[in-house]
Amino acid sequence: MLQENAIIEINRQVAPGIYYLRLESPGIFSRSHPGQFIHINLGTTYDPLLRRPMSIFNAEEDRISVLYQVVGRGTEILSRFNPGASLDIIGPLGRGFEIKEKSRHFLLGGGIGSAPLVYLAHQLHRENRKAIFFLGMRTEEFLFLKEFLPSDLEFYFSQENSPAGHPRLITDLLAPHLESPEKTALYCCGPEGMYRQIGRLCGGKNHFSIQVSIDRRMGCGVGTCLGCAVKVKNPPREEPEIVRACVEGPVFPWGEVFANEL
Amino acid sequence: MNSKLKTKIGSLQLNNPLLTASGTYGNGKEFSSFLDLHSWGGLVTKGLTLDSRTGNSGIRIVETPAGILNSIGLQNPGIEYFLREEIPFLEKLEIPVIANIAGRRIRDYEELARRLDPVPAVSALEVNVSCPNVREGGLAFGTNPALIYEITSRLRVITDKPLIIKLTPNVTDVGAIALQAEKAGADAVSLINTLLGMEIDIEQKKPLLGNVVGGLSGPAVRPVALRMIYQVYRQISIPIIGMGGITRGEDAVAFILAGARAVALGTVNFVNPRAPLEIREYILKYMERHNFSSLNSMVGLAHQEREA
Repeated sequence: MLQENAIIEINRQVAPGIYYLRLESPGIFSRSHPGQFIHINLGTTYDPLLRRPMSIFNAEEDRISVLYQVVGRGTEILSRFNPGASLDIIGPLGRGFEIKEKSRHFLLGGGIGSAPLVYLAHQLHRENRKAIFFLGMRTEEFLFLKEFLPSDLEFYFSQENSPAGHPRLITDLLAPHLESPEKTALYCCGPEGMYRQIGRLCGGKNHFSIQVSIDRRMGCGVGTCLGCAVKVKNPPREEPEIVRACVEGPVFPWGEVFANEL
Repeated sequence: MNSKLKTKIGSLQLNNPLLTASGTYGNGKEFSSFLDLHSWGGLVTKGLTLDSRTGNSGIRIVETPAGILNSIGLQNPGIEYFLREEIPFLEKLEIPVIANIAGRRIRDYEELARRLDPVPAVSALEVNVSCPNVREGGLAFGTNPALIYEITSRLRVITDKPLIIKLTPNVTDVGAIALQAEKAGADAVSLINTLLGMEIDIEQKKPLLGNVVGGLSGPAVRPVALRMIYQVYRQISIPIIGMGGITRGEDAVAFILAGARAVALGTVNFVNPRAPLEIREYILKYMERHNFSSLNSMVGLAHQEREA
């Protein structure tokens, strides 16, 4: 991990309230891996005080990008930065997705959580692996994501406001693909409710390997404040253990976080 | 290394007055990719307890105006693990390491002091009697002058290492508490620990932190910390380690002028890992501008009688 002053190349709205930020950051670019995040300092004022953790949306040619939704003061301030300005960022942070040796790779994104899966999709594409992208959203607000994905990637989406007979949940999309006994890696990023449903659907079958990215409020982002605690169960240990989303995560095997819920 | 910045906390020699605030810096490793840890005057460890603690559940950290509220709950792997796994890294550092200890009962503190006393890599003990995030012990000790006297004098018998008592701001008269620490043989006091606070999620209509209340830190608490250091300086003669929202060089200078012989940086590390370098640079420039030849000559200068 390192601290870098990254020049803003693009900071534009790609859908209502959703921004695409691309930064020139050769040091972080060369070290980053899908599923990791950066920690952005918004400037010199004290309010908001902390850096903003954001997962890496893509990384190419000395650039890294993030996708963010304006939800509060921090993201609102970020949306006002112009190209040419620089941002003090730390990264890459955390443990990202581990690309498994499986015959199929399913990427399951819920809303804004889909961001790191775009980077993963490109990585799988570079490695010529067979991948499918499943996008779950409330309305059609994240459909623009398709433009950022490899053009020949198999892509499905669900909308909670769909008319009857159309897929409303990401699990509606996923279910028909799970009948095959093929060994499959699932990479998930979205709300925890979605992870529980996906886990139930896969029913603990061991030809599925599921990884989930866990979202927590963070302080330092580097493992010292212990604010972003995640309770995990790591067999053969009997007792659950408390680990840090920012260092041991944010990506965990599904079973470590949700094993008790099967 | 500029010798102008040297300072002393009891028998503890520091190359500069900047310490890490316990619980904000792990045991240093995590930050070593951002700066040379030897830039610090000393390193204060994450709070240590006898047995491992998993900390509090639910949300543990909340950002507030110019500050953060935390309710970590002293999560740490326990003394056994610390001695086995952390000491090998810490003993390679050429700056003093101060072990921060916390307990539920006085005999927990005694046992911790007994275990740490023979460890050469530990130069001093900071006694956390002010954690707002644990149910027993912690704050209960820190708000009671008689208990402060008791705990300090018992630890004094166990170790000759410098003893630093970390005080809570959550009391009416912090000076009275500091005085008891001094009387019982403490080498220094450090203040302030975090201020008790809370936040409510108005949509869910319930407290945001899993532990309901937490400790407030960051620039928001700085004037309170500064006032307390100023106040305590008038009542005791042992050194004060000042902390509470120090973010810039100007803040550190103010704390020293108020009476702090060393200062600790906490929350700022989360935002600006290079803060100690910038603050050290600022102090040197300030000393040059005001013709100070030693840090010691600055300490407590804000107490000079004002001209009529």
